[in-house]
Amino acid sequence: MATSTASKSIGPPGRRRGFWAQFLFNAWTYRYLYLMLVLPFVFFIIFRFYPMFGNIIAFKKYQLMRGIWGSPWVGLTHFNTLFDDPAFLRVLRNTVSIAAFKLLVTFPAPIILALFINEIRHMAYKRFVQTVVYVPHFLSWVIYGAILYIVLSPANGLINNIISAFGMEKVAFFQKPALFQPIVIISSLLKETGWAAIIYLATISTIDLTLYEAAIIDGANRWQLMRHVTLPGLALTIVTLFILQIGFFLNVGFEQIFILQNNMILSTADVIETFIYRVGIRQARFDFTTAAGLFNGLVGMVLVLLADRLAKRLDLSGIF
Amino acid sequence: MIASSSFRFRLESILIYLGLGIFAFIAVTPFLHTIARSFSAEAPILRGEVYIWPVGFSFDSYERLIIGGTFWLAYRNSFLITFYATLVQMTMTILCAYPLSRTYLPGRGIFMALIVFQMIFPPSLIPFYLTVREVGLIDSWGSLIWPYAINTFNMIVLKSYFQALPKELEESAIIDGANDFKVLIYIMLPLSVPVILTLTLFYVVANWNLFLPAIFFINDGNKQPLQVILRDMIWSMQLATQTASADDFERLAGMEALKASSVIIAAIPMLIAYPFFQRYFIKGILLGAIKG
Repeated sequence: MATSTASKSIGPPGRRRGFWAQFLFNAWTYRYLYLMLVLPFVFFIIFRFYPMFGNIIAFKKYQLMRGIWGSPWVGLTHFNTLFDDPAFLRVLRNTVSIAAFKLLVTFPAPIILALFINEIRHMAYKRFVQTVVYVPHFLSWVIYGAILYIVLSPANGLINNIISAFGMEKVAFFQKPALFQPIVIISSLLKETGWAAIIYLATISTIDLTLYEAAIIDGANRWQLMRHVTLPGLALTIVTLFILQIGFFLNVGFEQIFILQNNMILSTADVIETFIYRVGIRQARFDFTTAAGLFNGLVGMVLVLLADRLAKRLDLSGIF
Repeated sequence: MIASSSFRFRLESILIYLGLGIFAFIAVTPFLHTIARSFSAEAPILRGEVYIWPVGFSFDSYERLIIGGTFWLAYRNSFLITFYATLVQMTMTILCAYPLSRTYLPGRGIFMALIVFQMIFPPSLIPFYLTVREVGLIDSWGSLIWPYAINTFNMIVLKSYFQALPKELEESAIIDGANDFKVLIYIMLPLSVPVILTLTLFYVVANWNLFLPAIFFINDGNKQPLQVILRDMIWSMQLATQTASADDFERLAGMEALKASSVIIAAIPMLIAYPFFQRYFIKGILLGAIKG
């Protein structure tokens, strides 16, 4: 045993064997490593690959008694219903709109925050700011959502107290469809910007100090340093994260939106994932919503692959 | 670093310090308001007099919550779920990461390709839900643990870390007659304590904040984790305060303060653990980033 296991670190065995002989030889030589992989393998098969085959109910009429495999085929019926359904088109529009806003607003915010935090020379103040802006990241959306409900409460929340102190009329924030998406964007801005800045701060700390020294000798001021030294130093990180963000464009924050939405404002608050949950699991329309999920997954996959292709073209060694 | 101390430079510095201070203040104000409410008497809250400092200091709402007892069940459930789930997840992540970090292992490429594929094309909610139902995990804590046993990102971070450890360590141990389990437990794991600790904390925070899986898979109120119980409490109080008429006043007594203190009680464990987590989390993020 000792000799056979030792052979693997020395290199592949020299003798040529037949396929099955080689297979058995490998299986025995590396048996402990394969044994470790058994449970993870079972996990991936059951919870990651088996559900992929479950997607076929998007093309079937799901009947509880006959299960996924026994239910009759219906072709593309569900997809037709889906794209004729005004509720789904609304959902699609909301998803794209929130995703685009998140890309435009919450993506650049941490970069700007990191650039400014980097300007703080007073160490204790720097640590204080960082500590404070990281905190909300650790709290769940349930807690953060509840805090938002309290702060934005129409009768006596902080914001409405201030509004009425200025003599203006109070706003029922969570009952106005037009306000939902701004609330989503601003709340993710407040909750996650600090945390997202960490990666940029870390990258800034790796920038060669002599670059700054040289620029200062050339008479660069603060903004010129930021523009011509720090930002170019961050470029690679920014592009990488931007591409990653494009790949996950449609993941607009299931948990956040699920917690902040209510029936009064579904017209702007419903997104693909919450739609699938509400119609699929709550109303048990499994086949119809699987079609929606499959559509979502395929678009997501195309976006990830495009992003990966883009990253490779830019010499970023790809996402994966 | 910058020698210049011109008037303009100083003015800009002051503005930047101020701007960041304002941002930090805005980020933290919602918490201050909630804390202030939780310690306030009900009347000033209803009159809209509470900003970020308690008015008419009162500890009543906390007393009611502590005596009421719902939170003990919630804490207990979430604590146990977090404990079991993290144990399973760390074990599974290590068991998956170590063999895949051995570049000589035949079949490793196929396994990695499968893993990348499920990252690009994750299962969608309904088939995932039906699978969990078929396996028979609905309404048990297993549904919050097994379907989430390996976080692919964490697994890849650990795999890269194992891969970067010197090969000679494994070779010498094998020559001394150790098998792979022994190599993993006695050599690799002790060398990976920082990354193991960081990943454990990643899992702990995710499990403690776990919400959606419980919404999907758990119907039994006695098995719900803290987050779901908190949300139900907030929702029912919200509904009660919105639909209340003037004569409901007795039923609603203290509801606003109660809402706020429920949130604070639910947030306390994370806030206590925060300073500790902050340090290791930042390390963890950098591990993931540097892996390249």
